[in-house]
Amino acid sequence: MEEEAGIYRLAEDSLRQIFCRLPLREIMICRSVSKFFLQLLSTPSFLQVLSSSHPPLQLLALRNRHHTPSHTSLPLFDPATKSWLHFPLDFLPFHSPLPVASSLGLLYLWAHNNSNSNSKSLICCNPLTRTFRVLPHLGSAWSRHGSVLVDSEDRVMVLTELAALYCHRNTSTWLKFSSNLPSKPRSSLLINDSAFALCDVGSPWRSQWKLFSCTIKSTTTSVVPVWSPLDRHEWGDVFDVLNRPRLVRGGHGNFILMVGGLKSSFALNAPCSTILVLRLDLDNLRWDEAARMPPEMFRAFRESTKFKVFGGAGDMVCFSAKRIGKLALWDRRASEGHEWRWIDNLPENGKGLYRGFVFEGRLNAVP
Amino acid sequence: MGEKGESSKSAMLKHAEEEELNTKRLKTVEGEESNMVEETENIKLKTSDEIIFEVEPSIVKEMVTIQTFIEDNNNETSIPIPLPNVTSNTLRRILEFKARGFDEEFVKTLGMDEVFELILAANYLNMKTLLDILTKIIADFIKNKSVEFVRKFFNIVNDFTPEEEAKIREENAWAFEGFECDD
Repeated sequence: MEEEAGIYRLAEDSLRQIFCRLPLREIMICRSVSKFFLQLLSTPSFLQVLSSSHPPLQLLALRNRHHTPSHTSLPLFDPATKSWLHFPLDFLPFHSPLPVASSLGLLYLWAHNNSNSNSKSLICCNPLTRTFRVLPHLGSAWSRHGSVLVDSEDRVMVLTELAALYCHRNTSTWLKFSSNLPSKPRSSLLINDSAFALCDVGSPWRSQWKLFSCTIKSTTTSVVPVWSPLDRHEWGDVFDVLNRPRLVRGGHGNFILMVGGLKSSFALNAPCSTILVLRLDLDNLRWDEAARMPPEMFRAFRESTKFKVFGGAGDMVCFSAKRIGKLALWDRRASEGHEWRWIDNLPENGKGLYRGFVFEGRLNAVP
Repeated sequence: MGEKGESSKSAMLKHAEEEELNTKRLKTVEGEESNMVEETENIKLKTSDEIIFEVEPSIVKEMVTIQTFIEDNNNETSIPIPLPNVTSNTLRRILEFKARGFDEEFVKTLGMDEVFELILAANYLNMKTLLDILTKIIADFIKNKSVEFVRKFFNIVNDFTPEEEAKIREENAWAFEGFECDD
């Protein structure tokens, strides 16, 4: 009779204590050791413990015109290991998934209900645990024109210039309200229960950017959310120093980052000396400088008339421009002196402009 | 390379010093009760194979299970406390390990089954520091190693069918991708 392996005699707590000390990916790999380990390393309580002992994976969801991701797997870039990780999406009973946003370990994507129809659903999923949930039904116009904004506790807003939809947690219908915005909202963000966007209130010859916000106090239709400008006298001309400012979520906490080329003068079409990252503290509504791109890096961007910027959780901001062949990454939490670096392991040598968002891989995120 | 020589020399010195300390601190009495009366009264522990050990109160304090038992019984320490789940071999190893200041190298000289016995005992006695160190040592052994290595190391039989195993690898592709192990 074969003797049972000694390790099976250990208390499950002791076993989990051993495996908890391994890096996250190795723990996942150990699930394939035997059926016992698959069970041990998959329980919800274990995943919860892991999530407090291991920081989430910080990954980049990238897409561009030249590189269409496969329809069955989601490639996410891991800047830490400079490699691509592929997350199979075959657990979704939908076609042509298009990831558009993420928050706290949950990925939101549009997908076709079946291969023949144009009707799309908005889905929330965790590609690590292969679980998903379909959000309340919305008309196809929203998938064509709406920006999907998401935040913690499953807050979702779909925003267009004229109207917005909002839902929070497991409400079965959307709250719909008109957007009273002066122009098309740019770089919209959802932070807790407030949405933010930049609108150009200037003339066709000269842009004048203004920050707008809207708080959704309740999901009942009795209190209609209203957009209003967010401004403070002491901000001065903070919106005028940047060329084509864009908003990016500012890591954990109540921050918004604003990114743009730092204009060398207030003249129209003045050249930029670098790319600046400003940070707005939403608690005290004060701006300060978060970072500026090092000159050696900016040299590559100077020739481009425009660049794409995206980010998300963890204070990471990604910069993409045509013909550079790589992405610039600013990571606030990197060790001193290493906050700015290049990402160059891109398919087809990084041709074209990339857009995307930061995705945090979390095992305890439940759609 | 010079560093390695230094550290083994100082380890040897440390070892010699500790052996000396051991004879003074580690009091084990096997098979008979001792008449020695110390300033701080040692606590008697009886292992599963009926051997009685006299252990310093400071060490027993780390064994939360025993400490709680003593406190629950009005600090009555004249009667040996039974440890039905711990053999004399294991308790001796624990005391030796502790006397050597939890030197990891000591654990590496033991067989895997003996290490598991130590973990079982540390868990039963609720010795957090010992458990932390032992689990860390085991984790270090399997860090960056392949699934095959982990199975061989722990003497585990793979009870997945090839299809089942392939499915797990596929579903968790992101973890397996580009994983370069060094075994």
